[in-house]
Amino acid sequence: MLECKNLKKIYGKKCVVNNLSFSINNGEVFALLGSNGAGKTTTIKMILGLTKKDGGEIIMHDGVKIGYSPDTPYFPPFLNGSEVLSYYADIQKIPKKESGEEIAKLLNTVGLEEDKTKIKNYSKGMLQRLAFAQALLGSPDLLILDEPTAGLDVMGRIEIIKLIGRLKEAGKTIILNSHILSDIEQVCDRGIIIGNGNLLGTWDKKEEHYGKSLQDIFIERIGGMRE
Amino acid sequence: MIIAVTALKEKIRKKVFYIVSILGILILVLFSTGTGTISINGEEITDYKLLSPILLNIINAISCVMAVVLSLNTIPDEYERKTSHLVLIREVSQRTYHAWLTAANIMASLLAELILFVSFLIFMAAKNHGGDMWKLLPAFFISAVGVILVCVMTSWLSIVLPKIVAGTLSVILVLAGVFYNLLELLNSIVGGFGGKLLKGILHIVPNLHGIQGQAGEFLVNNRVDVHLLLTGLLWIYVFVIALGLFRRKEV
Ligand SMILES: Nc1ncnc2c1ncn2[C@@H]1O[C@H](COP(=O)(O)OP(=O)(O)OP(=O)(O)O)[C@@H](O)[C@H]1O
Ligand SMILES: [Mg+2]
Repeated sequence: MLECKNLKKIYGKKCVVNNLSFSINNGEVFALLGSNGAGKTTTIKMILGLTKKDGGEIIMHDGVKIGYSPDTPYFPPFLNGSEVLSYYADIQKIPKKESGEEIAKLLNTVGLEEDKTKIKNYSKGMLQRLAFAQALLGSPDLLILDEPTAGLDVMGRIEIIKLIGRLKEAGKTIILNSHILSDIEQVCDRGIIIGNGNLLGTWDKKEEHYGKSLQDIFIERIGGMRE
Repeated sequence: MIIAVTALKEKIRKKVFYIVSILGILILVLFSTGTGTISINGEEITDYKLLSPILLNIINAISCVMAVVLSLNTIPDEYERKTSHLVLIREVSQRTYHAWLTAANIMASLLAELILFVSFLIFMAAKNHGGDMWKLLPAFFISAVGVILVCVMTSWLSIVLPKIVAGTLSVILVLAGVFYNLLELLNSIVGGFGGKLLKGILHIVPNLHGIQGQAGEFLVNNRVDVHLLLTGLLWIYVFVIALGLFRRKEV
């Protein structure tokens, strides 16, 4: 589905992504792991073409539709949830006839009942849910989710993780970026650990890892970097 | 289309529009009532033929400044809040995106201009010149050439330069354009290096005074200098092309 070869990004003099290579298969849930400032969001932005890469290659299958949920979502404060979704549906050129039904369904899926609350009165978790719903518009093949559970309450987080599981079953390919390793372990198939823009290690649910949890592996890798 | 409409909706919510409306009423009161008359060389100007071009000039100048205020933040804000991300990943090109946002700037600015023109309309009615009212429509479009010019110029500057620099430069250019005739006058007096500098400045500043002054010319003398209007349209064309050519690396 997607292959990244030797990705590189330099801001000023700082190399924030350095020779990063990984590939993602069809139907996989792939995790981007790493501490704050490791370069996860930057990697995502390069894949989306939102920032110019300073090196490397991104190879994507033709005609792959992408949905993206950003880490810090912002929507026009004077609109309500369904107006925001129809705004993006319109930009995406989804016919009006189809979008109405889809929007109602999506709001329901992410647990935002269709009401008239304006965005300016949304809680952080509600914004996050709306961002997720927005990513699902038009039923994309590849979902890129940058910390979709940040700011959600416990039940909300569990719901979203379940939803990701259901999307996986529906055949979607998903790139997930999260700091909550137990969630990752639950829903992801594979992943990479990044530190200071470098690839520090890989993780595969199918492999044995000698009984170590993802957290153990993570600490081992990150710790190795700090020394 | 929806991009422009939503951006416009956001603008109309801004305080700027209340300020324009209040200004409109203020001008109206100032000119329509006998209390606020302008006097030149001790002679009071109350004659409609003299008053209306002055009033129109003031309206034009305010419209242009408003156009800067309304156009300056639209595009930088989109990038700052990263609303740009969710638009640009949806197969919308930067060019299209910037075009719609600039369209929103133009619509908002024309709306502000319209509010001021409505106050002028009331002024005309009060001065018993109701028969000339139809002329206000062409006059509006003539003034609009200047307003649109300011919008596309400011929009373009707001993409290529940091916000503060773009804002300062836009205000300077607009003020110089609005007082173009004064600069020309100054140019004819000042010699030497200063004169040369002024001459250079006059070349890069759009002659807003000349362009929009045609609105008053039309209203009072039934005359329009088409050449000046064409210059205005040419400026707009140049900035539209410039808008289309520019692409941000970082969105
Ligand atoms: N536009 C920018 N200009 C300069 N530096 C930037 C820019 N965007 C990101 N950076 C830097 O790049 C590095 C990686 O940032 P990035 O947002 O990719 O981290 P992250 O892994 O997503 O972290 P987090 O878990 O906190 O979200 C950081 O050091 C950050 O300061
Ligand atoms: Mg991040």
